[in-house]
Amino acid sequence: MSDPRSLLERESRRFIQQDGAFERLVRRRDRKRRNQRIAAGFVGIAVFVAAVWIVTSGLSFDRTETPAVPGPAETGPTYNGPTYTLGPVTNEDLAVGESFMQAWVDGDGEAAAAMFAPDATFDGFQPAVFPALYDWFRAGGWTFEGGGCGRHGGGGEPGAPLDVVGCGFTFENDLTRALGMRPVPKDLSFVIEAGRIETAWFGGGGDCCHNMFGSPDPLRQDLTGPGPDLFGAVWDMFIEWLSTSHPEDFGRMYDPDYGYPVSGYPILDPGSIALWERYTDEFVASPQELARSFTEWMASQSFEVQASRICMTATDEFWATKRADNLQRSDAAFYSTLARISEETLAELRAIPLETEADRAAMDAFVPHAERLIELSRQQAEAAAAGDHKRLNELGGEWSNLWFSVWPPPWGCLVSGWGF
Amino acid sequence: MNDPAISAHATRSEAIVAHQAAAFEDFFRDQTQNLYAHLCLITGNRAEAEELAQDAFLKLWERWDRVADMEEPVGYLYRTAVNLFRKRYRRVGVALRKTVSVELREDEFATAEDRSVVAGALVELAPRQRAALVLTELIGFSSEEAGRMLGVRPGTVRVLASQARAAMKQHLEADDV
Repeated sequence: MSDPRSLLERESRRFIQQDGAFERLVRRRDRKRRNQRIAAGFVGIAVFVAAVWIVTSGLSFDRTETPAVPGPAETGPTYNGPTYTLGPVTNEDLAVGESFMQAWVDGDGEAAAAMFAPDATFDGFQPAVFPALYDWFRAGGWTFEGGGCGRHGGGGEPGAPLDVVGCGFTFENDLTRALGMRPVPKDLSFVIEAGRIETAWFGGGGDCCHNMFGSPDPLRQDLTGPGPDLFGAVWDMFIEWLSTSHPEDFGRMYDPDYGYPVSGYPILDPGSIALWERYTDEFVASPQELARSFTEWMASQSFEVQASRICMTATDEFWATKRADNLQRSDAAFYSTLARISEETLAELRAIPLETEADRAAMDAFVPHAERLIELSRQQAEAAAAGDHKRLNELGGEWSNLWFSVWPPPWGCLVSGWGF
Repeated sequence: MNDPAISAHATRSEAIVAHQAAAFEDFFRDQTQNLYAHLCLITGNRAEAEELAQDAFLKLWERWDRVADMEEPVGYLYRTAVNLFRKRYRRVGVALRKTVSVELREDEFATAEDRSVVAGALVELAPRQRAALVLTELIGFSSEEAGRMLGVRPGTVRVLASQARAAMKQHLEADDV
């Protein structure tokens, strides 16, 4: 067989565009402009009619009669999942979420599946997938901990994300252990109606449609790039290694088109699961070699992927330190730790080679912002050490204003988290 | 009587507009055949490729004052076209999933002039595999660039392209090309 490039080139030469393409484009542009003018005219008429109707009917703008199901926020993440008529999240709903998380942590697939309504979905699949999914988890040494649930979402205001039950947990598997990673935190969100789970997905309330490997929904343009957890990059490298080291078996193990709305999932039949177990063992056989390969693999990724990984690691380190040392927001150590980790993170970001003009411009804009955040954290540490709470509050306000002045934070940098 | 300063300004503005229009037309004539042919390979459908190419060029034209200054306007053209392909593929895919449980297959390498062994191999691939193969293998985008266009990770692009190459090889070897 000739090489694929030559074949594709030869094939592409057979497709000849009809003459007059530019003239067709001009006509298309004129048609579009005309339609826009017509649409603008209709909007103008509709606005005028609505204004007259409001004035003549004495309609108030009382928002207490807005529909129970809020629409998606115009500037926030779009909810792409199924639409349900939701009441407020109740304590009973939270209890259902916690029961599910108990089954999830215990690896009890049948109990987990039994909590779903007919036609419900989990991570885009029918819940009947659970027993096979747990076989797959066991093959890769996956374990889970935690499972506390709360109410996630936007408080029921029109335009806010949906209110759902959100449950946090951590996971480890043979890959994360071989790389010496801390347990990876993750969220599951649930829509619960009449005591049954209607749908569940990985991610926070308005943070729709990540699958369990952290892959963003490929159909959403605003969620391209690296996954939202520390495991995403490890998973990507593992998938690449599998596809190149064992191409003969890879097609039986992984389907990049499988899964909806997020594509790319392991195939969960017994033959595939046996292969996953064998090749996971092979992949992690030499942890030192694996760690070296992972470092090299990350260095070959785009600036965006590397920066995101560095800042996710920093965020994980900061919050783990806070938990381990029981740091409070009135402690000088809270702010000095934040300043130290942020400073190290900025140094790591600066060490990434900048290969594109866009990356250089992004870093040029980001560095002064980051340096100011670090400086403020240092000053907060000094104020906390001096017991100057008034000054600490002032600096906290300045820190928050600065942090939110660049939103979303580029690559999730430096250290992310709410309520510093 | 016309104010000479205003007239001079108007003339300069008109000249800039005319220059930009000419520059866009040159760009269009340089790129349209390639884009159309590549979209034919990705979509497997001449009419769809023509629609996508025209829509992509129209979007560029509307932003030409900014696009013309870009380092890589061709890259922007392909990003726009692939984004449109992705959106259309999604809409059709969602509609099909909501109605009947059938696979998304819109391929039309079916007319006599389109029929070839390579077309036969391409028609066997999923649209995303074809897109990954064409973008990386034929056009030469990196997997990072192609990943951004397709809204997937670079690793997934490499996987899709690798699967596409393997499937093509198998098909073509069966046909002894």
